[in-house]
Amino acid sequence: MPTSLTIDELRQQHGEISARRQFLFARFQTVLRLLSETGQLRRLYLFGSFTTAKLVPGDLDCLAVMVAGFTTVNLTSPHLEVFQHDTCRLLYQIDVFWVTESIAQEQIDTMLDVFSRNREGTLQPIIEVTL
Amino acid sequence: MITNDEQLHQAQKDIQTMWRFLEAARETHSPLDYQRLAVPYLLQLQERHQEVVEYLSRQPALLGASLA
Repeated sequence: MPTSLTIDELRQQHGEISARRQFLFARFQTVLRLLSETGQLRRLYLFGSFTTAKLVPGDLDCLAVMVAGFTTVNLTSPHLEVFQHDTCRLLYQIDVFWVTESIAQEQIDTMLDVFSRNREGTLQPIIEVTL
Repeated sequence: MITNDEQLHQAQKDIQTMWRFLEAARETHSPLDYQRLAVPYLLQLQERHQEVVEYLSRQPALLGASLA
């Protein structure tokens, strides 16, 4: 079950303790703004090492759930770039997984279950950012 | 890295979850959107599959020796 945090709570709990976290959080704020500006962002989850106590996370992983019917066809830079994995990773060092609500909620829930464990099977927190 | 059978079984389960997720996404998104959204899931799938292959390529005795 994801923990819900506002963006301010996220910064306080995960975005301040190290220079690396401050860097990633700043990039995340940009990505969140671009996702939100589409007007089609329904939910946003964070997972991976950024949500743990690791002092220096390698990157930041998130899953953006867009409204059903959302399409990237008419998007242009910089909004399009957050939906293009390689470009987004290069620009922001953030892995954006995304999908629309046209897929069954059960499928999203099972993916979140996958994302809730690291390679060794240890549970990692999933954070839903309050939009 | 997978170091025991329990992790192997979890990896296999995760692979199946990702495989089903992509199958559903392919049916519910346009070809262009699917092409864009699938990339990170496919990379995860590939990484997990590679871990399974590496684990299954070693015999239990060799695994124990390499971890010692």
